[in-house]
This record gives sequence, C-alpha cells and structure tokens, in this order.
Amino acid sequence: MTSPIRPDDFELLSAYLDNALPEATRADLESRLAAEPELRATLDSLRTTIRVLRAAPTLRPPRNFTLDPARYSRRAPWWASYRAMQVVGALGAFASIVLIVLGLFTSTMSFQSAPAASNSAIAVLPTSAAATQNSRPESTPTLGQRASDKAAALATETNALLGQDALSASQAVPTTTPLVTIQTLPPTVAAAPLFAATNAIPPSAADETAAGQPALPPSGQTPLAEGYQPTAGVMAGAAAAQPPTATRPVLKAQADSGQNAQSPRPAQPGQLALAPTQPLQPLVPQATALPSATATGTPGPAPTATQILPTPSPQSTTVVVLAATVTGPGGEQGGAGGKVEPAALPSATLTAGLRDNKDANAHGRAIPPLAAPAYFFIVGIALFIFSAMLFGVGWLRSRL
Amino acid sequence: MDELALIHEAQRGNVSSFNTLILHYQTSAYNLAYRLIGEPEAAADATQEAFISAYAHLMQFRGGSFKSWLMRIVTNACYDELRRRKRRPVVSLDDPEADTELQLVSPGEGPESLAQLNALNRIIQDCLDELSSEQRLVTVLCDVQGYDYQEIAAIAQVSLGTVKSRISRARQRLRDCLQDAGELLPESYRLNQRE
Repeated sequence: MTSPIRPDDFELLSAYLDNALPEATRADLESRLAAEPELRATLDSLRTTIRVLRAAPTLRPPRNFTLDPARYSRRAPWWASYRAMQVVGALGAFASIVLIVLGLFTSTMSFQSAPAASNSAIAVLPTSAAATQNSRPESTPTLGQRASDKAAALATETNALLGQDALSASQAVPTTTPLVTIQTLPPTVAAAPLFAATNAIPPSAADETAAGQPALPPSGQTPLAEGYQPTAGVMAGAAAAQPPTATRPVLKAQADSGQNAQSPRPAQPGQLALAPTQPLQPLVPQATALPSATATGTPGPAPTATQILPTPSPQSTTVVVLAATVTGPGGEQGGAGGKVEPAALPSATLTAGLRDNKDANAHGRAIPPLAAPAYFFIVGIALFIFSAMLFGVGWLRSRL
Repeated sequence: MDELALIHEAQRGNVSSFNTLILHYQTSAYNLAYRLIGEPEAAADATQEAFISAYAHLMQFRGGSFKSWLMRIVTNACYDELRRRKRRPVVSLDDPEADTELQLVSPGEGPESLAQLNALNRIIQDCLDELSSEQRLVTVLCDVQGYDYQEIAAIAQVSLGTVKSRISRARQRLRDCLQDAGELLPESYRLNQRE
C-alpha cells in the first residue's frame, strides 16, 4: 500500500539526492523507497530534473570584465591610510592612558609631598631650633604641633641634601657670629652643590652683638616690614652665586666662635672676607639688620636674626635664605614659651632680590602641586579624545 | 594561480592582480547573473558592477572562500538590477530568438547539437524565471553551478535548513515546469508526463 507524497517527502528526497541526509533518516527513506513505488517515481523525476539543470549550457561572457588600471590603480593609498589611522589611534590611546596614569601618580605624589614642600622653611627649623637650644638652654623655643616629628625628619633630609658644607655651617651656628665669606671653588666642585652654606644667627650671636652694632653695615640696614615682630630669629641660609667667570663662588657662612661680625677676618687665599665697613648691597628691600638690645632684654626694635647674604656680583643668580623666626612674648628674644609660627614663616623668609624667578622654590615657596599633573591630565585626555576619533574614523571607513 | 597572493596584491591596490582574479571567475559570475536576471546584457552589466564593487570593498574580505564572497556580491548586484527593473519595467526591442545567438563555452559538435543546447538553455531559463528570486538563487547555485549547501548558505546568507527547504520547493516546481515542456526538451532530457 502506497501513501500519497507529502511535502516533507520532497525535502527528504531532495536532500537524499544531495547526500545531505543523516544516516538513520537515509536508511528509513530507502526502506520507504523500496516499499513505495510512487515515492520512488517522484525520486526519479527529481533526479531527472537535476540532471536537466546540470546540463544547462555554460554561457561565455560577452566581454571581459577586467578593470582599467589607469582608472582604478590609484585606490591603493586609501586603505593603507585607514589602517594607519587605526594603528596610530590605538597607539595614541595607549599613550594617553599612560599619560593619565602618570598624572594620577604625580598628583598623588604631589599631594603627599605638598605639605613638606610648603613647609620647607619649617623643615629647617628643627635644626635651627636645636641649635638655639644648644647655645641657649634658657631659651626654649618650641615648635608648634604642626612642625613636629615629620618636619624634623625632613630637616634631616634637607641638611643631607645641602651638603657637607651646609651641615658644618649650620652646626657651627649656635656659638658663633657668622662671617660671610666668599669662597671660590673649582669649577668641578662648584658645579655640583647649589646649597653651599647655612648661616644662622642664634640668639647667642645676637647677644654678642648687643652693643647695638648691627651685623650688617648701615647701608644694608632696612627695617623689617611693619607688623612683623619677631623676637628671636634663627636663620639658616644657603647661597650660591655665579660669577660671570667659569668658576662659581659660593657664599659660605662660616662660623667662628672667636670672632664676630664686627671683627674683620683676614682674607684667606681663595676667600673674600666681608668687613663690616665694607658696604654690602642688600639684595632685598626688606634687608634687615640684626637688632640691637636684644641681649639686654630691653625693649627695642623687634629682634631678628635674619641676615642677608650679599651676592658678589650682579650676575649672581641664586641666593638661598632659609629663615625661621622664633617669636617670643613681649618681643623678648628667646622668651619662655616662644613658639614658631609656621604661618609667619613665609614672611620671614627673604625672597626678594632674586633675579631669577626659578629660584623661588629654593626659598621655601611651594610650587603649585597640581601644575605637572594638570599638564599630564590635559595632554592625556586631549590625546585620548583625538586618538579615539582617529581610530573610530579609520574603523568606520574600513567597514564601508 | 595563487589566489591568496593575488588577493593580497589586489588589496594593496594592484589592479592587474585583481584582473587576474576577474578573468578566473568572470564566467561563473556572468552565468550566475544570467540565470538570476535572464537577460544577457543586463547580466553583463550586473557582473561588471559586481567586480567593481568587489574591488572597492576588497579590504572587507577576511579570508575564507573568495569565490563564495565574490558570488555573494554578484548576487547582490543582480538583486539590485531586478529591483530596478521592477520599478521601471524594461521592454526589450531585441528579437526574442536572439538567445539562440548566445555563445556557449561548449557549443557541441555541429549545428544540430548547438540548436539542442540553445533550446535546452531557453527552457531551463524560462522555468527558472518562474521561481522566486530566492528559490532561483539556491537552485542555480546548487543544480546549475554545483555548490554545496554550506557555500549556498554563505552566499545567500541564510541557514542550512532554509537552503534545504528552498531547494526542495524549487526542484518540485522545476520538475513540473520541465514536465510541461514535454517534447520541447531534447529526448534525452524529457521527463515523464504528469498524470
């Protein structure tokens, strides 16, 4: 008994003729073909149809479809440029990410180091304060809570960076009166250290100059700014001067316990002693003279220990003065309970007279911490946007 | 012929390399276009457009069967031509018998054989024209040009099941068409008449 041909049977027979049936389905269909003559006849008709279609003659193209090289050969650069756009865009995006990460890293480091940088003057304080304490145990200037252990640690690092000369000078400060000398160093030596000396005038030094004789000549005396009333000062200074010659004389504060500012010291070979009578041209309008009458405790001008280191020549480019002021009550030098006021430190720092603004950093001024990271961010983001656009255009054009 | 090397050269802008590929595939492309469109000139134009488009988009070829990729472009060009003809019907002023002047690759031996082939070609094309464009495509690819199901699915961009069902229905309709042709077909190709 035969069954009528169903639509599914045509699909089975068609796939059977193309050998596209699974083995089980193929076996079932072959058993049906053996049993159903109508299904077998349909298979034969389909096989003949396929044979007719495959016998269709192949036509020869009426012409060649080749392209004219003169018309189409100039198409080479466009795909190369699009590929290059994608590659350059990817590289640019990677570089921008690196810049942004670098900016983040730099920003983090700047924020961490910003307090220390802004309090660089404070960083010198512990040493100066310690020197003051060593020279004058009765005066106990204490640092505030803000300039505590961290500032002391940073001060140690700063002194280490200042070099051996600076260390030696600062260590000699407590018991001496500074004598400013200019020492000419060989070029090989002078080229390396920028901070050459630290000059501090402790209260004891001011005591020795209690006769009202300023440490600096009258021509260099200039009152302090109004409203500023330090009672005791500790100044640490470092100066490096660059003469027009190849050698770089470095201002070096030497502390000599047997001499004070009033006693001229014979010039040593290679050194230039600055006598008190020698007119020193102050670099700063606020150039201050050491106050008098501080040792006697009599009221008088606000005592200070700030001193200006003169430059040997107009071509001097760097004067580093790190100053700290210990303020005591009632204008008394080294008074009990004297405190260092960090807020007043920048004003106590002598910064004017610089002929190069780049030296402002050496004065304890904190560089805006976000300057470098901001540049990294701006350049990185701009580069990222440009690279993404470049890559996107290249990718889109390659898809068209 | 190193097809891959020619493709790479053509991708770099070497037109001569692409022309070598054109010469290799132009017969298949033209026959596919002719079976899909049914008119020699329109098929030639569609084939030319397809090769130009293939060269313009050669960078999109990511490997695989270049022939299948090329035939898909030819198919799209033919579909564009068919849609254009559907919007603006074209009445040919040529003699309908002009098809007999088609140049065959294997014309056979003698004029009688050539006449049989031309008659067979005309009947087959008439039956193909009765199919839908989708059924015509899969049938031409499978039964005329001998592609397997996978290649047909890639060219037609449909699934294998769709290919099977389209081929089955197309063959069923072609069988009926060829049975109706009867004695117009050469004797060796005649199918049994329907009951």
